Amino acid sequence: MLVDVILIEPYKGVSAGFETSLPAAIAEALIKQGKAKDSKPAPKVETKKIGK
Amino acid sequence: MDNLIVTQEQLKEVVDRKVADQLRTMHPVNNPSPARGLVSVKADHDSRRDQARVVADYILAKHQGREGQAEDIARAANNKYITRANFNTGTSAQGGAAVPQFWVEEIMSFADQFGYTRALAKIYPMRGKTENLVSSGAFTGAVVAEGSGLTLTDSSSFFTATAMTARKLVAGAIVSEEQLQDATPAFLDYVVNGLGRALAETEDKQFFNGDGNSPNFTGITGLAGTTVVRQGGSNSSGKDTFGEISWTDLWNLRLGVNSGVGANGVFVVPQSVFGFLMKETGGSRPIFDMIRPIEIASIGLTALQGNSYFTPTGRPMHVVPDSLFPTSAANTASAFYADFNQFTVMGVREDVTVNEYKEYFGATGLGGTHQKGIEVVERVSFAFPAPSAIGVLKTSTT
Repeated sequence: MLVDVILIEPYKGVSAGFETSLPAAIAEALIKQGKAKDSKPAPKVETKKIGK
Repeated sequence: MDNLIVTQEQLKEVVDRKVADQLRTMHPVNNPSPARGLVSVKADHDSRRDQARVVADYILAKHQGREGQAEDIARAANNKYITRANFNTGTSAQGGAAVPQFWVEEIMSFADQFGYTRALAKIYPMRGKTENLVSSGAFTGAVVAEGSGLTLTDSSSFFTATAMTARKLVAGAIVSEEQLQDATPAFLDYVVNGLGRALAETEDKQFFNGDGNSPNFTGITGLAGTTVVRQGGSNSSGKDTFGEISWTDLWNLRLGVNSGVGANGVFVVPQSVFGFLMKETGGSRPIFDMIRPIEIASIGLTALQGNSYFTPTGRPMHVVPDSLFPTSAANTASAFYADFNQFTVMGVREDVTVNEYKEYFGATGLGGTHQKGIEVVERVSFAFPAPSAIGVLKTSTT
């Protein structure tokens, strides 16, 4: 399975700051090493109305 | 180190081939057809009738189990219509059979005309089932000081190989006995055209959109390590359909691919995406208003004729059928940008065999229907030695 990551450091020809799809194991390793971050947008947090 | 001696002729050949490859990608257009008069049409028609008869006799002989006769027909045809001597057809002993080569070559020629992959990718004749392509390595240049040695080693990047493995593609059709008995040029053209198109379309679907699940190839959309750019600039831009594409996305895609490998790149988009781009307006003017049609004067293949445009980014764009791309959805490829001739490879094994079925073909029973299934089998492969050189524009996830 491929995982979309945004690279913090260049990886195999893709420049830093760009997104690429990598096999899950490699993507997780890069994220763990701080060399990439998940490209999936953070889930929207629904704010709960309190009171009236 | 031994000196490598290269003759002027060898060097010229390499340069000429490279230039021709480059021209093919840059100006992929078709040769104009020559003027045709009655005399040449009549001669051509007679010759086609003769060829149609050969193909029909060949298929009938195979159908009736007269392998020896089929082989004789093929060999006689090959002697009559002088064909490439090194075309590597399987023999009966290898499980294949001698095939009238003019027929096979015509089918392949049609596949060449209709195939986008064949027009875009680097064609690589394969010598075996698997070819190992050198896929990455460091090439460095340096200035050497007087009295010093040169240092060229890049310890971080050694040569690696990408294995390109051939798989079987087939194209087939069911024909009736009457069609074979009344073999006419029209029948031959129709069958050749159909088989060629079917092979080309299958190749194209695999090249662009193969999902990698056996027996499919992994196409560009499923490839790991490509440079991905999102419509709207981020994965949460909200531009999650093909309809929300913009020409600025094309700019981002072009600039996203490293300039060292993207210099000769071309865009490839499906028809629907091209439609959205053409209809996009800036102020009150269409964005594509300023483009000029691509020059129809050079070399190339029919598949791209009339389907190539210059974009506001200055790079050509080839428009392919929607069926070769995924359908519009979130997190889905909507355009590619790459120097296809350099970074995408299509390997072709030259064995082409013809099979013939009389009882059952595909999912159709033929017993007692006076029909036959004919099938052409080729072996091809696709490889992408440097995925990061391929830019993929994707719709946003949210």
